Amino acid sequence: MGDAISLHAVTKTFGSTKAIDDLSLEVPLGGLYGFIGPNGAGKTTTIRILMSMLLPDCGRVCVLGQPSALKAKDRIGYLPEERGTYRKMRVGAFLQYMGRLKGVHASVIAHRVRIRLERLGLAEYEHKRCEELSKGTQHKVQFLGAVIHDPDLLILDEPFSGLDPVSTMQLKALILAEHARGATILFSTHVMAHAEELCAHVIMINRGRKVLDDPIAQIRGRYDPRTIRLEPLDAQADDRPLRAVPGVEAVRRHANGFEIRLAASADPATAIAHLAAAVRSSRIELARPSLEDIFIGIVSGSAERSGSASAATER
Amino acid sequence: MRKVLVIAAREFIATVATRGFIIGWLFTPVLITLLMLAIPRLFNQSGFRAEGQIAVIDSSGVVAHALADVVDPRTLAQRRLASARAIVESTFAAGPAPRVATAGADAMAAAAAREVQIPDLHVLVRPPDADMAHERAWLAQPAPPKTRHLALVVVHPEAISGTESGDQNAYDLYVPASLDSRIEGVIREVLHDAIVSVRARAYRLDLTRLDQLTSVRGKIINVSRLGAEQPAAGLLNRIMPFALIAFMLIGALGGGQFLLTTMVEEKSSRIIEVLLSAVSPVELLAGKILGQLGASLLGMGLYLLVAIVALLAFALFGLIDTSLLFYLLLFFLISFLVIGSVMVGVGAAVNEMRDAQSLLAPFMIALSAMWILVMPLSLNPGSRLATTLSFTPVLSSFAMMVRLASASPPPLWQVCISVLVGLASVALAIAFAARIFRIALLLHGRPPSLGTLIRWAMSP
Repeated sequence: MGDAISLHAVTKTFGSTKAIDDLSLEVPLGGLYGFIGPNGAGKTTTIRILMSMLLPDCGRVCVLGQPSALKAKDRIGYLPEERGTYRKMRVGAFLQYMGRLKGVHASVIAHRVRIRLERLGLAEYEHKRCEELSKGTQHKVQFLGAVIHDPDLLILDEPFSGLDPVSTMQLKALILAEHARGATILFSTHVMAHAEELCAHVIMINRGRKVLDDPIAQIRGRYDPRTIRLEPLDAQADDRPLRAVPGVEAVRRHANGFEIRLAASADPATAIAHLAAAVRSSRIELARPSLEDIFIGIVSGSAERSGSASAATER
Repeated sequence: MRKVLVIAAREFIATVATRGFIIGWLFTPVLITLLMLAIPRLFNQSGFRAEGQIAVIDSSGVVAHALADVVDPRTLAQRRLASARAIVESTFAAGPAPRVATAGADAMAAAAAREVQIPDLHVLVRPPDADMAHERAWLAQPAPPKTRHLALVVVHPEAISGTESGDQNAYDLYVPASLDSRIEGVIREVLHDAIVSVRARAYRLDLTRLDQLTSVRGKIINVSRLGAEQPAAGLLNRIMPFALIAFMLIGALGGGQFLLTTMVEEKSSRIIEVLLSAVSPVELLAGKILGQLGASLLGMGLYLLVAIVALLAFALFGLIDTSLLFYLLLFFLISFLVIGSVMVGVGAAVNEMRDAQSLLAPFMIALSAMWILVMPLSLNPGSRLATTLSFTPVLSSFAMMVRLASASPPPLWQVCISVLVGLASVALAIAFAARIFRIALLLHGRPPSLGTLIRWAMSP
């Protein structure tokens, strides 16, 4: 299977700021990829380069087999972070306009818009002006505008920003429905939990550089959990039986219980069984690192490395 | 091209369906007409009346009595009516329909004469040896409005005979420093009439006959392109350059203003990035300009239709050189594309209207100058100023249109150069807008300076 998106050694500089630094990434056809990183990491710049709204200083871009997204615009759906509508335009007219711009034939667009609005339970809004809609409904309309032409590739920049939990859940369902239809999806977010929930693969960038590009399962495997959280039934329970369990490296008491660090050679499953037997507990679990933990670990690690490097340079 | 047309269609519909368009294109001419009717009434002299007393020390012995006759209200009313009629007749001397003009001239002259109140002046004859100090003191004395001391006239002995050189004053006129200059004008006018009537009597001249002999009138008849006689349309010829410039400026500036406003709105409402996901910046630019051009042409078409119907109704259409309509369309297209491109380009660079207005200020001042320049250009279409402006980018179309509508159209080679200058301006303006679109459409925050804008426009 080929790639829907391919970036090779792309760099983009604004004045003295390097927004994207030698970035390479691939998103295969049919993939659902999360593009994560903190604010200012370069996600929007990368996406704009993908959409050919910005030209890279150097590097190669390939979108749906084309060297420029301009040549494949009608096959791409795009929902920018800063999205708007024509405030005075009616919802139906706005969606028809977006569809026509995306190459949907005039003879079918009106019918298609009606059907899609009905499917999302928005039929009553067809003749309302965009400015009359709530923020959540506007988001749905904007999303509908991005997918009205059934794109092969859907790029969403921070699609959940500013949404309440219910709207977020509804939008997630819509994204998954598009993926189920067969669309390749790349969405950026700085909320790692969203990527963790939706994606099979994440690409993480920080300060314009890629720091992670792996399937979620692989990431979790690589960041093998070495920490077990245990909440004893007796809040005053002694920690010595826990320290005596083979493979336990360190035990730290905290408000609700213990955090037990395992040695690298220890098998977590065996250790859990021994720990449960050592102290009667109400809860015992392997603390899986979240993407956020991993990201913070990577970023702080790279910060430390760059700190030592600069210190060494100073010396 | 299909996407350009889709954008153009939306722009067109979104524009012509707005209140701004309806007000701008339909109500503006109505408003201008109302102002044209109202302003003369606001500035008219109906509230002004010269009334009071004029003391005369008459060394000639005859002028003071003649002056008393001249200021008689009935005499003054007749004179006002005659002079109003003369003005109206000279205005319509080359008028379109003599029947209408003659009937109308009487009514208009009577109406004009009625607008001005007849002065109520009284002449007080002083002895030739009156004490000047005492008379000057009289002039300074306050008095009720009806008997206000307006002036002291000292008529010189040679006022009637005059001198050989003719540079001798006939009288000295003393007036209060605060006297309304209009009253002073009335007094000078009646003095003039009184002295002339006395002089005519002295030399046994019949003033009425003299007026008839010195008045030479003629009728101007134009011949249409088909050789048919048509009444001359002097007024129409004088109005034509102004009308054409108004057409072009309202059309191009109105369209440009719409482009600027919608562009700033689209940037601030963040719809622009959504659009750029579907079309290229150049397609967006082309669609917007094309849509607004259509809206402006619709407005211009409506105006032209009304103008043509009016000309046909007064049997004046034959006087219009139809090639003017071709040139109007050509130069309007050029001016619209230049103005529209510059304004939409600036709109793409800023986020607020006030930033756009400050960046566009020099451009708008240059364009506004056309309202002032139309008069000298139409009066002297062959002047160096007219030729220079015809070859000046941005202004060339307007200047050439005024010259083409004038009585002395420019030579064809100048028209061709003007068109070429216009087309080059269009190319530069579109290139400017395209570069700004490419660079600045997604920029938000601090507005660019004029220098930055130029740097962007010059970027490869």
